[in-house]
Amino acid sequence: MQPLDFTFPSHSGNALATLHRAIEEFQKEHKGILVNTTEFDWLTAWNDLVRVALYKDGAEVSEVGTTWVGGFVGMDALRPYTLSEISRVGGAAAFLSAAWQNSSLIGDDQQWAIPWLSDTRVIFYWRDMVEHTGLDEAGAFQSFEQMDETLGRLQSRGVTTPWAVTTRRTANTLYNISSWVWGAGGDFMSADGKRVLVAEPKSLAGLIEYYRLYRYMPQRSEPMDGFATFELFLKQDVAAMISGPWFLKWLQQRGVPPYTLSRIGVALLPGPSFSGGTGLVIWKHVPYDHSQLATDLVRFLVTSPALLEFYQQTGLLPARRDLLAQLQFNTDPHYQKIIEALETGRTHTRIPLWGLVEDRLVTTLASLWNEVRADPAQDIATLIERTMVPLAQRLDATLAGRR
Amino acid sequence: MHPLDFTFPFHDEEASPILRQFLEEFGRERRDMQINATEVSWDNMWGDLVRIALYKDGAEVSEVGSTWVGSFVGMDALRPYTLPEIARVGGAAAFIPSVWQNGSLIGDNTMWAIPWLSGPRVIFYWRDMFEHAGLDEATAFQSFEQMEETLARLQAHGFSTPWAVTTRRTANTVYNISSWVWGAGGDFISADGKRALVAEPEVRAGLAHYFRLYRYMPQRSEPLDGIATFELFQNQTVAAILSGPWFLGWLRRRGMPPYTLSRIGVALLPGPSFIGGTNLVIWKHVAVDHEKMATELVRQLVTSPALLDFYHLAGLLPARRDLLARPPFSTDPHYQKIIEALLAGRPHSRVTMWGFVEDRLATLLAQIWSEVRADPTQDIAALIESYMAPLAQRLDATLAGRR
Repeated sequence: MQPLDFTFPSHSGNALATLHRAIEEFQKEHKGILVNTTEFDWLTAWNDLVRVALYKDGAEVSEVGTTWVGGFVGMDALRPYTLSEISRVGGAAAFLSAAWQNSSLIGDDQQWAIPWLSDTRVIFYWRDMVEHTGLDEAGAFQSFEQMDETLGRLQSRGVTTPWAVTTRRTANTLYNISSWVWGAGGDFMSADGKRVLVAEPKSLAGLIEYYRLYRYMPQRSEPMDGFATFELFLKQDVAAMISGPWFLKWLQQRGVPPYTLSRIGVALLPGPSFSGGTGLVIWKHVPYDHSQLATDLVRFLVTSPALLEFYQQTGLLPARRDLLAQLQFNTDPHYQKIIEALETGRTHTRIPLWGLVEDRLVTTLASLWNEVRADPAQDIATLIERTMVPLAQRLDATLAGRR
Repeated sequence: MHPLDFTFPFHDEEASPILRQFLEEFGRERRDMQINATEVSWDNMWGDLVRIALYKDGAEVSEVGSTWVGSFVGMDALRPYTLPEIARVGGAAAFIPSVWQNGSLIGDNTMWAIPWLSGPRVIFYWRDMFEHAGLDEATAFQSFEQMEETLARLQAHGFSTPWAVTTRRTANTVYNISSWVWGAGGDFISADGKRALVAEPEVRAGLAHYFRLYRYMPQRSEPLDGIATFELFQNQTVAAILSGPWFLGWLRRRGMPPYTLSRIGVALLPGPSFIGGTNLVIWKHVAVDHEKMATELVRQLVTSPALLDFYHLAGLLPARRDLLARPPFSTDPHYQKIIEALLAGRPHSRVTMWGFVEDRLATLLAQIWSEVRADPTQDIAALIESYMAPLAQRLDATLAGRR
């Protein structure tokens, strides 16, 4: 039998070695079967996967970003999982609900992906700094008002730039800001995915709250990337920032000792967090005699405890509840809070054209950052309304009659 | 009326403003029409264009790589040019034949793209080194045998590494090596695009000639990229390299004085050169009330003499004969030889699956380079055969029944 082609986006060196070992174990269990693995750089993974979809070659099973699934369904490139296959991985109940939702589309019963790795966003903060303000850690970031008070108080106590988020063009801005939009009662799209809501008053209110926090951030003429916010946090130039579980991994790699790690607190964002991650898809062009093997590989990857170490090495969490209940995830206070964020998190609108909406939003949110950075004193509400109204009109025109 | 969306890849810091000014003037002359021009980096270009094709939004006219047209036709994303529109740009007779072919696919009379910029590959060499070695410039690279003799003679005269080509993973290796494959009487796929020929004896012979030249190249453990070859040439560590007209632009930007430039010779490759470049496409989703303006924009871009400086600074040649007959193309001796290569060159198989074949070839040729670099003394012919036979089988399986 020909080897089975499996592709995944790049994971760190240790995680990769663990994954390869697990795949060797899978091969031993399925004698005579070879799994060909190919690693795609995250920067080119989308392009590489589009080639797979377009040329119907190059992979039979792939790990893909959850927000990409709709695009591949739109290209008619994926093979849906059957009910019996879904049942063999434990069905919806075995997974975090937001992660499970990420694998199907609105108005479509098909399960196009099986969730594998989960991530979400939380606030990391220096507990000593927050304690110094006399504020209660538990409520410091619970609402827009409390967040504003916390950051204001930190500033008045000498932490001149207590807050940092990325301001460059990245999908992370959209993933971060979603919590503010949802927390204000707004959304990006209507529930049926047919209408864009970014110019609605509640969505605008959330966006305004997020950008207004710039007055607590380092004022830089150049956009700031995610790693720059990590560095600022590590040097205690800022008191709090947004990131995901991979930030803990980054801190460990930088040699931050356990005591210092214990002085870092984790808080939920003021609204529900965006829950993303990756899922495992089987491409429609999988040969008939590989179909069973492909689903076996997916089941193995999703359920095997042999990969517990892999999750920790990637800095991402398993999407399955039984694996989350094991080892460090269940005992580490940082992970406990992150799991809480995952449990209460949400997904973006699951339509084939979400990729288009996301792409336009990412560009627009980055240009808003450029404008805010260029003139922080301007009326943020006017700026955001002026930008979002034409964007909503343009997207509505594009989405009209399409899903 | 809404602005017309036009996307193009980044060309050059000096060339892009000329194009932007041209587009502004085009808009000014048509008072009711603005051009919304977006410049995209070459690294992101493929992914961005795929998004346009997939989401049917984002650009109505685009400048695209000539070898990408087949893929977009395969995605049913392009609007063909009508016969009157083709006539208005002058039809086939107004263009260099090899370049004109890039606008259509084999077995399909439809013109999907209008050729705009073109760039054949040639050999650049230091004339002084050739004179020192007593070589006849006119015939030094005329055949595989003469090339071999030239490089060996240069080596014997103290130029220990007379030759350099890129050895990293890049489509440029496919484009470069094509001349060797065609020169040996081979081709990558059959004329109808249904059968892979990469394991045929003529193809393997051409590939072997190309890789065997490694003994004349700098021996490095790391892959060599295109810019590194430019630098090796500029500092006269190598006597000859393979590149296109953009190399002259690179040398000018590096401040090379006219006299030194005049000491650089240009020679044709031993076989026909691959003719690539860029084409102008109109996307199928172009608004009905924009169609006429989109075709007019294409006509102006392709035919206007106002862009002669743009071509020169971008380091590419116009695809039209009348523009090539004007200075600097008609007067500069380097350009004269490059135009000769353009006239004698050819495109790759114009089938929708060419992108797939090119992608696989680029990966495999880079792997062969890695092996050759690791052990330059091994049997190159056997190495090539060990790679090409399985590739041919794999390509055949995918191409079967597809175009």
